[in-house]
Amino acid sequence: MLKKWFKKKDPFKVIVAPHDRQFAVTAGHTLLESALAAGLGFPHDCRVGTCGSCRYRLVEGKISELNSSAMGLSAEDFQNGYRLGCQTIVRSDLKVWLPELDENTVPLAVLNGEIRGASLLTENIIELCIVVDGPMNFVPGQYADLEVEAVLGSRSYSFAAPPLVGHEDSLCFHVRHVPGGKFSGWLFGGSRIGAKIKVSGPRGRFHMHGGDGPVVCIGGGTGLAPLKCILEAALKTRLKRPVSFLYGARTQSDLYCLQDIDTLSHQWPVPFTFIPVLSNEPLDSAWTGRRGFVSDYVEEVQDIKNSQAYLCGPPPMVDAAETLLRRYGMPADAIFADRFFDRSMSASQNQI
Amino acid sequence: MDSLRYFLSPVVTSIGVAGFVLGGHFVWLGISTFPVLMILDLVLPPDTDARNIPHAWIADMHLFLQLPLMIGLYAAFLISVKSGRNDLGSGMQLVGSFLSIGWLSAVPTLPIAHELMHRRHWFPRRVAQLLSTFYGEPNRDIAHVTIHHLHLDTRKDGDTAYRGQSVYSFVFTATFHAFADGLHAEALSLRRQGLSAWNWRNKTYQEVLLLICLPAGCLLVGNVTAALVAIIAMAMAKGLVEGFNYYQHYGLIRVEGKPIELHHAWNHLGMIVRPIGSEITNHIHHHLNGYTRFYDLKPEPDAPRMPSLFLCFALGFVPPLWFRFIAKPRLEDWDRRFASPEEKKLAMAANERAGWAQWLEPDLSSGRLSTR
Repeated sequence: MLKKWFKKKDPFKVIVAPHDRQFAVTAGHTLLESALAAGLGFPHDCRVGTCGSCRYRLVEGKISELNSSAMGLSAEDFQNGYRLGCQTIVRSDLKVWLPELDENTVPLAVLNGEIRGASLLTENIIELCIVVDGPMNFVPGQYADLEVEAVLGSRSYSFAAPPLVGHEDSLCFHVRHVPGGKFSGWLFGGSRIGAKIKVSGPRGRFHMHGGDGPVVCIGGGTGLAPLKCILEAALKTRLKRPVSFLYGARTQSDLYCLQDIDTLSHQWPVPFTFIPVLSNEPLDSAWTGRRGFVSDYVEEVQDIKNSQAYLCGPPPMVDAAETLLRRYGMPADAIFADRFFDRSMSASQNQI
Repeated sequence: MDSLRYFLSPVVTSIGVAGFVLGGHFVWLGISTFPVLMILDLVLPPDTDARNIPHAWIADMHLFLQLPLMIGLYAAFLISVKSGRNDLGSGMQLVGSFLSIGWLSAVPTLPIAHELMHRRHWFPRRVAQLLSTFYGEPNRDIAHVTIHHLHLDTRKDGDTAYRGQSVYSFVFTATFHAFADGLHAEALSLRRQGLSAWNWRNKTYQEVLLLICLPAGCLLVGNVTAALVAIIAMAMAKGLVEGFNYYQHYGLIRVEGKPIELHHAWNHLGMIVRPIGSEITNHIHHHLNGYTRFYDLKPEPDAPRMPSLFLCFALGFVPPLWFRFIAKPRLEDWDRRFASPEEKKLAMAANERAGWAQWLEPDLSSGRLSTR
């Protein structure tokens, strides 16, 4: 009898209909947490039992709840057997019915890695290539936290290239040398090939959303990284949506990955327009392209009202672009932004 | 080693217990920890480090020690009254008693209760409810989870102080919303389950019972004055809880329905306030995932920061000073560097309602919101 009581129990299994998926439940975790840890795209948002995003219908099995799911469900849903994944503690093997899966959900991983490449893309942007000790899957547009022993705290950088099948342990980032920046200063301060680095990710919700309309990408500085990553991943799926890509830099020498963008442009199945805009290019230079701020050229984008926009880079640029897109008729829920803050901006602000 | 930091909480509470055991003017020992903690938090450098916790059970110990310690605090108080070591007829000892109990009922009790109410097991949640009784709100978890976590930084959230609101006003509005939202949520939940709002399952009955039990116990074991001390201490603790709560999201703005992001909470990364608060002042990641254990919360030095919480708390007693030296400068910085264009618009509308300057002006030629 004692053996029966104290024998380590097999984890409960959950079958997810109609998606033909199943996963094991981690003891002490909610249904939602176990699903996410298993890599299942269980829709969710608040995680505290109020928004209703993680609703599912219990078909078979026993559960208990942290708080009643009635708090986050309509009376009708509750009476029809729906419950919330974030409040469910699994008490037996379950069969559940889930309306849809969120394909953009990837579990967080913390991996140890080594720097394998650090090549200069411009005089102040490095392409940092890392190999980690396990696969790191991510959704293009997301970012990871990088940490090295020499620098206190981690820094966040967007993945600059989509995951490569069979090489999910190879990761790539674009790092700008920030004046006074501790991490970028360390990276630019010598050869870091072979240095140990910890990668925690993927994080963030910036990604390509579904739709049929045109896509507007607006980037500045290393904001190009996640946009390039998203577009390269989209190319593999033969996405047939016209793209207008506006990219802002200071001078010609700050433009980078032009070959990659040219490749994208030529391989894209429908129109792809790349518009670089330089804000500080000397007037007497040979540059014949656009000059000024990248947001000044938002009005050149065709069919704004039916487009989706992906904005990435310094907050003032993103804010200005967002304001103008809204002014030209783009709905707020069609604009997705990832603002890049840097720690050197905040250091002096946080003194008292 | 990092796990040991959190033992500051049981040490502080134990000092309060010791004060009542010793009796006499030592009853002031509990409240005396407040200025000591404040001074330490001010003079020590900020603490922006993540925690290294190899054994979670050690870090968790202080959470489960707090309830027996608080019971011990009240027991020591009542024994000191009955034995005559604590003369509640003496003004000094009366005031010292409720100040000490009131302070410890808020800090570190609330942060510990907050951590426990988010755990995924009935036992810590029940302990959280009992602990929350000491600061007069046994059902705090209901409004906290159903309203604050969903609506933070919007006008629907009673826990987000609006621009121009003083701490005095906030204590009342937050208290009102906490009870009203909790009552409403419980009733709604029961109705959706096909039950009457008056059903015995309504947790409001438990709340009322617990709120009565504490002073009633003091009356039975002690005397009327002891019961009054309990009531005053609970009310004081409630005021302190909301008083500290005021600084967590003061004046911040979020568009309803938009995701919660890193800039939607103030962070206080003090060397003392982090452990005594069980990391509640380093809590934006808690809003992104409420099940993250307190020691796993990642400090975000890049995210909006406030000075020492104790400094804010002290300055907040004089609202014009708080607004001038901390609130307005920090919010102006937040508006410029963190707020999205939509949030900027809402921020300026909030400034207008508060009678504050419009430090962001629309640039009519380009649609940019520029700074003066």
